[in-house]
Amino acid sequence: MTRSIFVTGASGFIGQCLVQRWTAATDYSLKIMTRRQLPEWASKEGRLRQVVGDLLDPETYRAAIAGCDAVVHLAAVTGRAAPEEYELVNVEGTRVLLQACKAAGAPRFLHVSTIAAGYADQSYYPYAKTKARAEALVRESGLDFAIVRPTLVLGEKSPIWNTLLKIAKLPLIPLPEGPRSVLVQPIHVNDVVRGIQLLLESGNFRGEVLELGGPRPLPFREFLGLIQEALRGKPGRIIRVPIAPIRALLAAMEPALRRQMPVTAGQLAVFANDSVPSGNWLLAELLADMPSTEETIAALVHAGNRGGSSGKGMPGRNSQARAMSENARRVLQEECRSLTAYLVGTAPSPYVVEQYTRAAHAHRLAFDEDFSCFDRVTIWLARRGRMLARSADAYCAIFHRRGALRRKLIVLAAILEHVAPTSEVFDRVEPRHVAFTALSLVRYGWMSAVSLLLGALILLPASILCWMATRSIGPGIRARQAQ
Amino acid sequence: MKILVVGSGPSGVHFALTALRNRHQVVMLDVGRARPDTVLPEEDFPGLKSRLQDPAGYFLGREFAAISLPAAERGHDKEYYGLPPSKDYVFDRPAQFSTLEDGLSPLVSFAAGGLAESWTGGCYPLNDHELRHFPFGYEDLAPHYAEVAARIGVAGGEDDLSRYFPRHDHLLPMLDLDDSSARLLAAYERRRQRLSTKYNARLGRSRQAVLSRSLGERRKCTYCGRCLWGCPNGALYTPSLTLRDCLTCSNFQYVPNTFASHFRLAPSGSIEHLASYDLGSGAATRRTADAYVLACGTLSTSNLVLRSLYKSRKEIVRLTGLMDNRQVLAPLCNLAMLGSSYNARTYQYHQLALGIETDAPDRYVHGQITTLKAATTHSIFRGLPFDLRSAIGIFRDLRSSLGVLNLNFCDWRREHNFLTLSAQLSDAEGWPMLSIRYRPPPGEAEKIRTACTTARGFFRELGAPLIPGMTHIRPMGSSVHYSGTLPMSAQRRPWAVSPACQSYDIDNLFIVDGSVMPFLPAKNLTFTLMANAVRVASVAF
Repeated sequence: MTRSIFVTGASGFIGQCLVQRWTAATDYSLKIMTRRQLPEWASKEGRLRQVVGDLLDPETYRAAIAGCDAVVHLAAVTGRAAPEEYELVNVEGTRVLLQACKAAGAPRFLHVSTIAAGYADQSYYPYAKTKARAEALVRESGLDFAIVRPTLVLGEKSPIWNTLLKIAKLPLIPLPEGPRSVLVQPIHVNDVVRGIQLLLESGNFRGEVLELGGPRPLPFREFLGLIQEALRGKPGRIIRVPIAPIRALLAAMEPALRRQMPVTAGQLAVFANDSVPSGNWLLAELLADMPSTEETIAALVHAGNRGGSSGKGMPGRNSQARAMSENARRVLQEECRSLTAYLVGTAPSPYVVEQYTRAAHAHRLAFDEDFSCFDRVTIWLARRGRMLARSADAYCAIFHRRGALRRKLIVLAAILEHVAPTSEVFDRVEPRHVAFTALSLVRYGWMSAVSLLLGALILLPASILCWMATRSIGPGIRARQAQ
Repeated sequence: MKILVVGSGPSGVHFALTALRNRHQVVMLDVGRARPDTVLPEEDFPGLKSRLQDPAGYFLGREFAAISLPAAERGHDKEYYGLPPSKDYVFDRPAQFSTLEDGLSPLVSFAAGGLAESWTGGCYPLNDHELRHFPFGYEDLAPHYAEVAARIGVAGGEDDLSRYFPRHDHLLPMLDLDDSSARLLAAYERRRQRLSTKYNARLGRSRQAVLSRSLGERRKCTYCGRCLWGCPNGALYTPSLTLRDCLTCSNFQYVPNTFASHFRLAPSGSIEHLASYDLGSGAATRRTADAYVLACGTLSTSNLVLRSLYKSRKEIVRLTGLMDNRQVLAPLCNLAMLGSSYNARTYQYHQLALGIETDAPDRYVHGQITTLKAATTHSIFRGLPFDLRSAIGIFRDLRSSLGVLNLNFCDWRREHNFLTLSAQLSDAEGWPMLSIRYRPPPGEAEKIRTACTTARGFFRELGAPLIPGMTHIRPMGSSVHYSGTLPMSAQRRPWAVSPACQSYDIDNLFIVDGSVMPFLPAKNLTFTLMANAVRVASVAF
């Protein structure tokens, strides 16, 4: 029988995996609610319907719920939000959705919660508190319901997995710990989705709380060690730091600096509580087909390494989505004229200017605000005329090869190389005596050395100043700059 | 007999053409990404830059993905293949195929004609030393090499390298040499005795699947310099040309845009049907035949076999013995060309080959020398440690003398290199993902070092020294010669095929692509794959 299922939070990490697998491998008729139309799912039309709506506004999805066999409620605020945002979405959103479900004829309600909702120590952790309160609302709703509480959910796009990867790459890891190392039992997102599917198919909506975890519990420290081994072939150094003062400090900083902080006091709750599921029938069924934690980690690390191994990556998907202001466009056009004069000694054709603007956009080189302090200095200098451009380039060719200026110049050179008449500069080789070739080589070497010297005189102090400026503004802002 | 062939790569089309000529009915299933139309077919390479309306779009792609940039962070640079946007269709893979990679990053193709649509055309028959690992010898394969040569057109002749490449029938006259290759060869001729004795290495003409005289509707090479971007005349062979020949046969049915998913296996061990689906509509189809032939390349063929076992028997097995050629790129500078101009209107790929003998005749190291003519060059000069204006000037001064030696090393089957299905990760369709594991052979670094030392001395004496510090060992997977997971064996054993390439495990299944190679010589394997496919179609059907 085809089941009709309404899903909230389908654009989130678990939601995306669920939609991907269910549209491919089940005959469910899916209605997914998202805050905006997602073009990437347009190809799945026929197997799912997108409902653009707002959890807090039941009118936007009331009609879609009517006639559904079940509602899978994944939507929640996570990460570094303010307490009132957690309250609004996780508690009020659930309340509104439950009322809409009752009004629509009480479909079965599958509430996806979190292991944190059952943490004994939820200090400073509004996420866990609001998820626990949402669970209470579900229990009181009178609907046929089941609550699923996954532990740490792993997957290529898992936020926690990607944070752990970054941590595991550090040469020395400060691990917040209480008196003992807490236990975790991470589960792969595919198994969470499989669990939700098994639950739907079983029809067991009898008010159970079903905690889902991976094949075995292990100390957090060991879990981190396994990731390090998969990454580098050996475990790295982990040092214990006391958790209580760190949490208190972070909690004090949060009201003013939440958005800049790499982690909140609440998120450290994972280091203060065991994240281990209690046994239940659904977990027992899942465990039968679950790979070991080591295999899961190895697979994820290799999948991450694979990156864009399918040959050439398509650059600039995100930057393409950003509109370019008229001013930004003008700056790029002027930059193209200036850099073309430096590279080939002529003015670019309107076609080259247009192509450069598009290519810079595609390769995420269009927006000055994306670059580091030093990158901006080199670009600023290069826009000031041929000689300064050559000097900045000569310096970057040795000391800053991956910087934005080099990348911009390579993009422009690639275009000029393939467009007549500037292609002649790259392709045309006239026969001449070998002595003239030798002289020419010496001349280029000399010019490059002089440019390097001039570049170093200007850019060496600038690089020191940029380094000092970056240090003084703190890691949070650096992280935002990097983004 | 009704034969169902999966894949339209070099093995598939040559198997099919022979089977069709033997009056069998052939149905070919294929994803079949189609080659786009050739732009301005009469124009040569320099002409394209001035005559195209959107040259940047053609050479660099609409998203400028063909621009070679350093990665923003050290250690994140990807292997640069220099593939032009006009070949994007060759590497466009459907969402149904994804891989989990450990030690080997493959390139795969779902193009009509397969990966060989971007082939550089090296045609080197294996000799008896290399074939000693096979259940037949050169004499058995020679007529099939000749048949393939007659079909595709192979330019080549007699020279010092004939001792490594046996001569077969139907070779075409050799192509005109470019200046740099001609001077290198002349330098070798002058020092032949000394170089071959001192280094146990020989230089000669490479054999290329290129027409030096017209063949049917295909025009001979016009030296337009567009080889990399897709020969506009059909002079440089690609398997889609043979697919075109198959399509003229009334007993041939080509079913593109179809993903072959798995075989349904009967308890007796034979195939009941092949399950496939249309990539557009998603409609599933079951197809039956008297014999099923897999020719979709080692990775896809093995994936299909593994999925069939998983679907029918809930078994996940390992297909061991995965092989690939290690490649080493060594740029060189032909000093005799300094001060000379170059001619972009020449055959663009390798014109010369190098053979290096080692302690065992089957471990021969094979090299191909490509001199720089028509090319996209920003990927080269951007690597020089000078400001770009100087780098462009220096590069232009040296351009006509530059070239690259591409050394290939043989590989052999080892148990710990395998393909299997991943129990933990699934692909977009919910199937367990194809998992690849590869580790290089023991002592590889020493072999590479020895061969590079030989090449360094050899080319120095030729007056074309290898450029210091620029030798690059390419990562495994770059040579695209994946093979060996379902090898030919005279003895019956699990997950192997008979000398006629019939599976020992699934009795109505034949495999004719690289999967069946019991050993991977250093020479490019495509020509041998085609000859073997013709052999199987001749002896087994």
